Amino acid sequence: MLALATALAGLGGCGDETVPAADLGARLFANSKLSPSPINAFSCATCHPVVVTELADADAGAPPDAGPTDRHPGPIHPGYNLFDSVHRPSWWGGTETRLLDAMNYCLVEFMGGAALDATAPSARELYEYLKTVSPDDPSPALSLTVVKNIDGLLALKAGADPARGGDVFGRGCRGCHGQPHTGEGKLGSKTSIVPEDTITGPVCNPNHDPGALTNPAALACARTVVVEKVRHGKFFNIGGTMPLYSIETLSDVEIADVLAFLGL
Amino acid sequence: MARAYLVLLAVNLAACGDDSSAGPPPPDEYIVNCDSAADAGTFTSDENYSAFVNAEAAHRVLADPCKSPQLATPTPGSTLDRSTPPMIAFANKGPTCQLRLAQPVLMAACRLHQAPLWRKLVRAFLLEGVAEAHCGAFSGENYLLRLLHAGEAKPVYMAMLSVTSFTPDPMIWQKAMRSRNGQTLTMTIERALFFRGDIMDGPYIQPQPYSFQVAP
Repeated sequence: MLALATALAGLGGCGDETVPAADLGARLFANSKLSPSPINAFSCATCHPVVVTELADADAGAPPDAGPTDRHPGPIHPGYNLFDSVHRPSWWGGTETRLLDAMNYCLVEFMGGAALDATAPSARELYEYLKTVSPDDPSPALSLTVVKNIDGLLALKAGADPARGGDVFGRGCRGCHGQPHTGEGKLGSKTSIVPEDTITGPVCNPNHDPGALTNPAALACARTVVVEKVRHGKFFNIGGTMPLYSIETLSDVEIADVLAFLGL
Repeated sequence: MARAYLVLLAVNLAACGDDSSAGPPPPDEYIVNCDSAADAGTFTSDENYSAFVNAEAAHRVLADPCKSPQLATPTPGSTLDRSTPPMIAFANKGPTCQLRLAQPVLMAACRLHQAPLWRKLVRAFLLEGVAEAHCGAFSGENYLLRLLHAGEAKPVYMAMLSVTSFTPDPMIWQKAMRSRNGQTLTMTIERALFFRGDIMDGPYIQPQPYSFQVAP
């Protein structure tokens, strides 16, 4: 009887009361089911924080996530802070000039979904939510600097700090990849365990060498692959669904520190 | 430049959080899997399988008798041996579709994710990768073959293919057919044309699946 009452109370909480579109959008923002893909584990919130920022200096025109030198101590996301995002003149570093296209780019490229039409309820609800966290009109476009050539980063081995790298890994990588070496807590079954999956995988260990984890060639290969994945994500003909980390979100030094932390 | 981060807006993750369910069943076989492909340009992979699954979930699979694979062997309606896997061979599409490639490909490229073609081309051609973590983004045709039994969500047998002729692994086949005596199974084959990891045309499937009887 108690169980029945509890169940009915739970159902009552999801009843047919009217919910503001912005609230529905907030829920969608954090829901991987925005994409119909049964494989997808990403929601918008996986990659994008919504952090209210206040510029203390009147002349401080830099974007909130301007770079690691002045970074807040919280999670490091590959995507930009979406506070004040609605009234930006462009997104994705200027390549998208419609907010819906920018949203659909994430939905299709990373979440395995289909592009939303402007009339789709979920598109409207997401817009209403983002509008509630976008008080400033206009707000500036944010730069997105994609690092094409990774040679400089690969050379940053001397002086890399594994302790700092552990901190960066915890704030920037663990949310999706889980604990290093075990993958405990990782997001979805397809997410790789770093660095082991990379070292022993088909690219760096094509001959299935059981000693790959101590093989210098496999380790060097994994170092390159990890840097490629971080800097290029799924792009540059790399594949997968990982988003890239631009120079604005992670510095070369921070990535070198992560590599040292991972033993690469 | 000082900057203060004041409030982290709480989003109700608990209400509709990630569903960590296992997802769709993986294929029984990948032929030819990317890590064993002799020809680096022709392979299949779990990434490509994901692309098929995502297309199905988004209702993007098109029933088209011409653009979908045409089974040659085993002969539809024939009997499948439980202990000896058949050679499965098919044409990638109907003969009347063979000569009409250029226009659909071009149109599909234009439709790719509803993005302007110039942007896709810039991203695809000007930005070159160096290392690949998952065998790289595939360009070419892949096929998803399933043997199904009515009323069962999980396929009896499933293979991701980069080839149009193959024989299932005997061990895998025998295991799949172990309790299928006398059952009627249906076969579906989807075809999709990939460009740098994305499906740019398809997937296409026959409007009616092929039927087979498993030998008692």
